[in-house]
Amino acid sequence: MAGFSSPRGGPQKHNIRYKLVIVEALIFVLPLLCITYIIYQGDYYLDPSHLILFSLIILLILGGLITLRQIFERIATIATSVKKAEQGDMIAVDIREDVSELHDISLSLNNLVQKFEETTKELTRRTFELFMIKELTENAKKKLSINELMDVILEKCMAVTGAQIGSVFMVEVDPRHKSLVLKSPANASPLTEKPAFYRFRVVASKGHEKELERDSYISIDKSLAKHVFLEKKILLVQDIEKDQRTLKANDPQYGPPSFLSMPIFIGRRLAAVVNLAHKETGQLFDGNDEQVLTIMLGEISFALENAMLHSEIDKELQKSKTHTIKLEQEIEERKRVEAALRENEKKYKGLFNFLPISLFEISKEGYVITSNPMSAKTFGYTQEEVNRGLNALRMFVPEDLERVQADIQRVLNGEQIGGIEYTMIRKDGSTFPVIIFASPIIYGSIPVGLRGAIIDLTERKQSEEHQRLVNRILETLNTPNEMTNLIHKILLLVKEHIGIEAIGIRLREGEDFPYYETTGFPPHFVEAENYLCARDHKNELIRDSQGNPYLECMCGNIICGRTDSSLPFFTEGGSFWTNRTTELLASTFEKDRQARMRNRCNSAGYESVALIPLRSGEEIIGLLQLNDKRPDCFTLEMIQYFEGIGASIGIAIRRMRSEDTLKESEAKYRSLAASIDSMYLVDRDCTYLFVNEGHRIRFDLPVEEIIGRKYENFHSEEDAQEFAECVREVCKTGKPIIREHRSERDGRYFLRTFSPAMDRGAAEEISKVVIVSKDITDLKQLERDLQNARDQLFHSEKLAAMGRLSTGVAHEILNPVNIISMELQLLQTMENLPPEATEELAICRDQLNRIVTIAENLTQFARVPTKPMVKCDINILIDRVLNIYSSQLKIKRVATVVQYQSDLPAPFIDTEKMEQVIFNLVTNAIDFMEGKEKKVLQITTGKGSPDKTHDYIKITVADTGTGIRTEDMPKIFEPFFTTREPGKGTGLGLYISYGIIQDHGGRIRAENNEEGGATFFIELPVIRDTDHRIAQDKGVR
Amino acid sequence: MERILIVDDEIHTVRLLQRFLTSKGYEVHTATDGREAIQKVTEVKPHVVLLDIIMPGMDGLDTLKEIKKIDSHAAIIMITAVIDEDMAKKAMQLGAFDYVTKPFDLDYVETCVLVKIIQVLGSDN
Repeated sequence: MAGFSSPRGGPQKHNIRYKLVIVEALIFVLPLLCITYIIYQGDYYLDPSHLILFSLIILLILGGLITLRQIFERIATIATSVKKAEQGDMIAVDIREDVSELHDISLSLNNLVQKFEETTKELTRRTFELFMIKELTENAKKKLSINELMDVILEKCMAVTGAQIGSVFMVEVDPRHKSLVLKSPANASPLTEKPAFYRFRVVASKGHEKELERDSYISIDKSLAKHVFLEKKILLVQDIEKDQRTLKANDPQYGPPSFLSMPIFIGRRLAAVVNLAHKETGQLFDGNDEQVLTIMLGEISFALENAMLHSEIDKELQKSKTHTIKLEQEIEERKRVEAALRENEKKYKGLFNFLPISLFEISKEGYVITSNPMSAKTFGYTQEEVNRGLNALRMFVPEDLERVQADIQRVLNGEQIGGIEYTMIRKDGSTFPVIIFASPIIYGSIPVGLRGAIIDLTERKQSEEHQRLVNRILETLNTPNEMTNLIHKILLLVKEHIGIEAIGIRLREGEDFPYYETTGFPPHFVEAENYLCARDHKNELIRDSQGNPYLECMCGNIICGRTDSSLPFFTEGGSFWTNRTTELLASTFEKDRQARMRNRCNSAGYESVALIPLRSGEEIIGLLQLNDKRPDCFTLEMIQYFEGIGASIGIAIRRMRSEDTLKESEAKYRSLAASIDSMYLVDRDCTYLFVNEGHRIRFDLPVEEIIGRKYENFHSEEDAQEFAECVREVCKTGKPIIREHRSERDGRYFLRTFSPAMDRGAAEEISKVVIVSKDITDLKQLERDLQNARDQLFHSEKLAAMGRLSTGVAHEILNPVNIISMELQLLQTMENLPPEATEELAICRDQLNRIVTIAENLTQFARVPTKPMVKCDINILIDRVLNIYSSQLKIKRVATVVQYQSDLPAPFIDTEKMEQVIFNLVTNAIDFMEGKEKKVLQITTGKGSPDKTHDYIKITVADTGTGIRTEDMPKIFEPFFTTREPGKGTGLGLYISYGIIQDHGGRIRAENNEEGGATFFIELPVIRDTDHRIAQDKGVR
Repeated sequence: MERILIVDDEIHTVRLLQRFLTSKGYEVHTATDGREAIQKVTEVKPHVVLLDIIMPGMDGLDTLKEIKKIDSHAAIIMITAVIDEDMAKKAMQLGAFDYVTKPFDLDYVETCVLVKIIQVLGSDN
């Protein structure tokens, strides 16, 4: 203001310089003054009114400066013209110096103004920045939520740097690694600083084409801000594509490839990262931005801290609020309880006196102040003694005392301690386990003593102990094991648990109950007492009227249930027990003892004896015996307890035994099922429900392909119909039926038994049928063979009868033939016979001879061989016959094939007759091949199938002739049976052969060959080697 | 004259043999069963006995044994059917001299008898 008038002051050169100094001073001093004023005026932070003033002043300065410049330009112009004048017309030479000075001044002023302009610009920027910071801090002061604060921070940061895109990420621990990070002692350890353990949460974003979703998560590793996280400092990237840290193609939406990521620290912790990109001016981010942002964020770090604190406080507040509500509820509840307590106080007093729990109040030193009658009773003191004063500390066993005192102190200190177990001492010196619950007695906020309850644990401990045994026994019983092992284990358990000297278990075995297992009994005791059955002098079991064996002694009583619970030594559970056998025997009568006593327990010195029945349901299956030489080992409770265990053992043993039985029957069944060819189960509709392996094999299908399908699916309609009928009938009548069945599959014969299946449907109707199918093909074959043998036998009998008959006939014929023959001979000797008569007579004699031959042949059949039997090589014999035939075979063009087995045993035979047999067969063969194209005579020898007494050799004679007609087959061995033309054969050849073979104890039969012709089989017995026979005999026996 | 006793239950056989042997110049006696035969042997002491094996009542073998007891020198030729040769062989073991089979070849019968008689006579001499 003064400065503006000064250039107009005057043209004098001193004046101008002077004035200039003033203007200069003004220009510099004024703004300084203003700022000083502002800073001095208030706190460090600028408020809006000041800012306006500040801006106004700056504007004024700018205005002044522009005016000044105009003035100086003008002065410069003047100075120039003055210089020109000096060169030309030499006007005012004296002011030349001034003018040149003026020019210098003007230049320096120009310079100055330029500098000033720059400064002002800088100042403006700074001011703007300052303004932003101010605004931010203002906002930060107000915003208490982190999210809002971050929004503001981002907004301001963007404004300050001119970035058009920006975002803020909060650094959070990834919940998946929370435990790891939090467990870690130092937060900054390299292990826990792994980016993988943290993540970014987007709290603010601006200017993105697609806004980042607030509260979405970004993996640190995938973000460019990773480097900020790792290095904990600003990441300023000029060119994303070239920077070593990024090396990433620039996304055009982010504008120029430059970006800036700023860490925000709260305290020393990296709390968030601000990311900025795309400066509106298209410039790159520079150190300036970095600087400003650093300042800016530094300025608001307090606000951030506040915000964090605030959010924590908020949380706590929320918590305390719910807590308060709870507290209020509790107070209310307590009030109600108190009221109820007050009401019940009287009742409690009553309870205090009558509760079966020891209640007490003691002083800090342990003196009993109050105690209920139960306490006195528990500890064995009279109320008087209690009243006289007792110290509770003396009621603890010495080894617990230290602990007790410490615990009393803890209670007095207000510590909440639950029930604590101690061992206490009664007046009589016996100890017992207790659990004590105590709380301090507070009198005017000072603890003066303890109040509490003592619970006697004796019973609980005992029952715990008992329960433990029961558990272990049950556990043992349920472990799969051999029964002997189990019982042994159980005995050991029981013995260990109750410390009884001898324990035994008796189990049923037949009609008696011998010891199954004992422990602790001397062997002679067990041996003598093993059996309970009473025996008479013949060692026969003595039985009662029902036929049950009489079991002796007390064990017998328990097992037979002969107990009388009205007597003190029997329990209601049927056990016997005594603590003094000697006294018992002396004080009771035989009648009371129910049975004859053997007294062995007593005489063996056992005073305490307990016999506990092992029950499975109602039945007593055995007995648990506990013996001890010491008296007073048992209590009734103990016996009752063992009765319970006895039941468990009994049930388990029963189960095991039935398992064994089951296993046995299963094995039986299995072997049965295996022996059954086929077994299957069908329902009424003939649907297969089950097939055994044997049957499955017949199907040759997997089981799944059979089950569920019907019988008709596998069999012909006719077959299925028959089957269905059988199933229907069984279902209807409930009675099994047996049918023979010929399988279509392979022609084998089966005997099928249809039986109703055991389980019946709800309607009490049979719905399933079991079919057991037995392959009887072999049986059938056997039957057929038997029939054949029978037929053969019949045949041979028939032939034998025929033989006897024909022998008689032959005899009868031969006599008249003899007479005729003699007559003829006599006639022939007559003289003077006409020649024709001689001829006729000769014919008569011939014919008579034929008759004689027939008769002779007929009788041969039944003839007893007279020639001695000799050992003969059958092969040689056959060769001899074939030799006789060799020429005839050649003539008839019969090929002879001979197959001999060389090492055949030699049979004892009548060689002549055997030759005749072969002769007959070969003759037949040749005759019946007459006219056939193929003529082969095949003779083989070999071993036949042996029977019980003999081995056999076999001879076959086969031809390729006409064969034997089926209807003729049974008749071929009969006499006079022939298919030859009359006169060509007698029909006796085979008949005689049959007889001969029979005489040799052999067999002969004929079969037609498939390819034509017939084969005759001869089997002749050979005596076995002696060794062989002996071996055979031994084998039989 | 050589005495021959023919023993057979078949009278035609006896008759024909008697006729044949008589014609050959022998003194022929006959019997139709075992008892008669034994009696005749005692009475006539025949040189040769033609004895049928199969006879009702006492059969040829039993008769053979009895005759042998009475006259151990008597030559006994068994008469047998072709089909009963086995039995004839048995008779040989019992002391029969020979056997002839039915139907007879009369020449053979005569030869047998002759041979026996020559033997018997020879031994007598």
